[in-house]
Amino acid sequence: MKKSNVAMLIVFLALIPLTLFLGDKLPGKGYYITGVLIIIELSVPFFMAFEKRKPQARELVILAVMIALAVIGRVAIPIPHFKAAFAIIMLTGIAFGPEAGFIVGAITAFASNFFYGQGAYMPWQMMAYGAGGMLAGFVFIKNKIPKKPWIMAIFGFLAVVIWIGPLLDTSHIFIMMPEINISTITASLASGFPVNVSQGLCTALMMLVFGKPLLEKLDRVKQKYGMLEDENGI
Amino acid sequence: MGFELCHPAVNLIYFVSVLYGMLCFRHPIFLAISFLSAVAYSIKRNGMKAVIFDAVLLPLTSAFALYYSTYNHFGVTVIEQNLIGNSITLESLIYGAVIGLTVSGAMIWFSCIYSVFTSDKVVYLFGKASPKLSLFLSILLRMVPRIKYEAKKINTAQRGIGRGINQGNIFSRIRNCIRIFSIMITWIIDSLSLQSESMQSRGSLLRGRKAFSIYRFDNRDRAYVIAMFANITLTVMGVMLKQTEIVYDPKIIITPITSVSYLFYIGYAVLCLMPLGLELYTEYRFRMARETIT
Amino acid sequence: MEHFRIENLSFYYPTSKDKKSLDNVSLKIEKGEYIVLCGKSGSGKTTLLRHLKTVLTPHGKRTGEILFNGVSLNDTDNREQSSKIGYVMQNPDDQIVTDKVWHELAFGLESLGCGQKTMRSRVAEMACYFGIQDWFHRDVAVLSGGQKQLLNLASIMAMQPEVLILDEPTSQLDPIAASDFLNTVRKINTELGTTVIITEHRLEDIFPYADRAIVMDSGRIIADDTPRNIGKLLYEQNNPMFTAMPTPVRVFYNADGDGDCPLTVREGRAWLNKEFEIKPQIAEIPCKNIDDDIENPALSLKELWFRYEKDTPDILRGVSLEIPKGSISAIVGGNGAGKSTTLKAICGICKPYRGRIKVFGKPVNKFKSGELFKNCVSMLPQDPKSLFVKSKVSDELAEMTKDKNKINEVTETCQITDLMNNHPYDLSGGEQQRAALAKVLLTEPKILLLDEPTKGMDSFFKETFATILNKLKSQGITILMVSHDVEFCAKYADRVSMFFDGQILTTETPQNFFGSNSFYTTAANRMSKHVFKNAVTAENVVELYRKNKGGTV
Repeated sequence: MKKSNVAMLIVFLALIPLTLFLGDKLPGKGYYITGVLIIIELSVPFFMAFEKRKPQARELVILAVMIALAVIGRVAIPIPHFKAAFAIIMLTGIAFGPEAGFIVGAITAFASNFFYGQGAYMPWQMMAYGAGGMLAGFVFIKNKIPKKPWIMAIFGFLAVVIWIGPLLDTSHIFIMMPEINISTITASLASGFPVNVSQGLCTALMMLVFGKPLLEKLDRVKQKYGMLEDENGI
Repeated sequence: MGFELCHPAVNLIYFVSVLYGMLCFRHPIFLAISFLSAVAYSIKRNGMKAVIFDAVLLPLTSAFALYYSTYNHFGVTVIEQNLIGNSITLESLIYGAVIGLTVSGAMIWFSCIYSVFTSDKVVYLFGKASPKLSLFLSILLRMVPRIKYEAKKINTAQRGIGRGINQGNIFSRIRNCIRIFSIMITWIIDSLSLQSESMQSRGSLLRGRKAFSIYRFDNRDRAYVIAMFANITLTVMGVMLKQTEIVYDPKIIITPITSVSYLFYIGYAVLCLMPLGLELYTEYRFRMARETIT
Repeated sequence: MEHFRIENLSFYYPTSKDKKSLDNVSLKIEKGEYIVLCGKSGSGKTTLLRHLKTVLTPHGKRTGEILFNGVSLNDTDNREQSSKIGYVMQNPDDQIVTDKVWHELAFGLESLGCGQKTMRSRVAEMACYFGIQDWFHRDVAVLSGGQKQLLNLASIMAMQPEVLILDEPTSQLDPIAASDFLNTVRKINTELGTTVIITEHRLEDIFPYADRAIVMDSGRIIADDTPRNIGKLLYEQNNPMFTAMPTPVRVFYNADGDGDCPLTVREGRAWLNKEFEIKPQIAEIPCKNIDDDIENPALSLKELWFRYEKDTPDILRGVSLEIPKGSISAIVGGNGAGKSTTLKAICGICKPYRGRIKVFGKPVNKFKSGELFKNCVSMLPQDPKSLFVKSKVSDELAEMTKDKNKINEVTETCQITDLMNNHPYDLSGGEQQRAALAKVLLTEPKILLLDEPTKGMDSFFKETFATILNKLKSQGITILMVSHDVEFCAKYADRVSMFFDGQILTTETPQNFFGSNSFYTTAANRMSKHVFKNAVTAENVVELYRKNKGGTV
């Protein structure tokens, strides 16, 4: 495992939960501070992924395009709980690694919420969206699992239903529920299940339709400009 | 040869203060001054278009006043009772009209702002705050029309082989749409990476970026700023002397109008009419200068 | 003093591990030199140029060293490189970053963090030097291609670079804008002493002024000499790059001329004058007149009138044209005259408000939706990129048809068998054009419309492209192309039509058409007009030269 991968896991497992926990105590619009803090924490492993060199402008630009696409994928589809954003975040993770996947996911949540209205759930969403990108990056690391559309579609569905979805539902438990006990947790997870399945289906569909062409485009850029890869090739 | 030739900072300060006045003063005289000035200035700048725009806003304003008074029933002067027994009051009717006028006045001011503030000026003002931000804005301003142009070009090319977005049956149309979208993404990624190379090649990532401006702060700007601040001060004094205060609920109560009040009214009116005056004056000077030549 | 020194530079792209893109290149560039780098597409020119600036250096493995002003380029800091090494790329649109001309001019200075006063005076200087004052306040989007590229150059020159590197800067421009641009580059070199390193297809505008010409082939430098000597070297080696040499050079060597090789049309005329002090006996290329009555034309346009918007001027003002079956016809003419619009009208993309278009005798509006493009008409757009959808050339073709045999046939015709696994965007201009042509051919058109097919193509690719067109013609396909490329039309078209002021003025054979023109004609004709009649291509001149010399010597 690369150093940046380890750093990524440390940030995800320790720093972000801590930030979320402390951020919860901030009054008023404190969630903006939490959100920005999360992005700053994420940028550490992200910049580590570039190893010894500085990120080039074009690399940041391409991630910006992915973020823009993901935001459009969330905002422009008028069907509720049927958004393309997760698929695009996961594809970024698959193409450019867990660090890039996480940061793109987090910023997508941050940016797209400006269309839906920000709230205390925003930092949680950032965490959950980003975790989706990160998971995709880890699962498909080093080409061990073939990047076939149908495999990605199955992965996308499962990732939404048992990973991103429950993470989002957890945020409801912490924010909405008056007290935390087994029954509120199960109630919250159960009520989120149909929504997650619908989102998962959309993600799988998007992976089937756009997975291959989009991944091809990203792979080409990666090869051409040597984005986010080791000096000795892939 | 009008207000748009003034320094962007002057434009900004002016419009911010006028908009503030428009949105905050509920006093009918101040409201009327600001509203009428906005109408006059918008017509001066945008001509026939502005006349239509302003004319459409007026009935909307009265409609809003009626709508407002049927849902809000504060006030003591009852005009009539409606079907379900709620009373329509003069106070709420007038207050509705005031809000309507405020909103439509602000919209008319905005139409003037659009015609004065070109994208250059916005980029310049951002550049003062952060050169990087202004560069970003400028890139966006170039990217949007480029993407439109490119999409059109690709559609034309695809039509040339019978795969445009309006060729074939509904399914092939959808497919063609997706194809063009896909080409656009490839193009955007490719073109943006080239563009960022060109930026980097010209040192965009160096520290200490400064923003270039083509604007100068000249004597006319100075004169304008002095006059503007004189009138703003006068208006602020009026605010401090409670000249702008008015109560609509439950009864309309205005601070008594004295002869000093007229001084504040004049100050505010001059403030609101300044750009119009400037433009008329410059045009007059221009015509005079032309006449003396020939 | 040396400006750049490249020592044993080798480079591999990560995708092609076995093939070196640069192979042991060593080169010295003196201060103030004007160097032209030539070579076929894919010979490593761009790769070499990109190595001269760290931020543009491609990703891959390299050995060797590059010194700039005696210091290793890697140790030269970014600030110094940004201002001292200017780099102009191919596509004018992709390089412009901001939305206003004045902002773009100041872009580099903003990055360097110059003071407001310095910026103002430098920007003013540049605007005057490059003649930008008139469009200083405009939006970049309304500029023409030539203006955009000039703006790129000016924006770079504002940083006062010591070296100017240009990578095929005129490949996307029309000939007049290209020649203006190259003159400006020469002016910069002679007036300011800026070192210029340029790669370019249009050697005619550069060769006479360059100090050195360097020829590259498969990543190696195969020749490095003055332009006057380089032609001989290439001719003796029988190198395909010889076809890219300016017309006078090609005529001179192909005719086995003696003495100094002429580089310009003026020198060429002087040389021919000396050779033919007595009037030549055979002084004319025989040519037939064109048939005015065409039976069953493949395409007939009758008095087309068209405008884009209700209140814009007419673009087409009564275009009439008839194209016989199985011929190659060319429409030439100035920029923005409406040539491309004519092609669009034939495809039904633009609808003329007056006049009639008939395809094989059937009015175009009688075709049902989509029917026109099935085995009938197809257009190759100016920018071949806008046709590509997939990530491999083979997928591009498979998208059009399921018939494997057809695909094989087309790939062979277009000579893209080797390119099938590449990404279409990674191909060179000429290769892209051929891949796009293959894609268009899979609709099995009977009439093929080409919009500026030779744009961005080097001379070598042009010949390949021409053989493809001739093959298609022999299969009975009617070809109509619109082009700025006078030389190409003169050499390969059967009929040339002149487009001017929204109309087609004349239609002639290339010999008659260019032979009777004095300005709007080929270099070969300008060079030989005073001794030969109707010799419009280098081959024509050589043929007449040999016939006469064979008789008189």
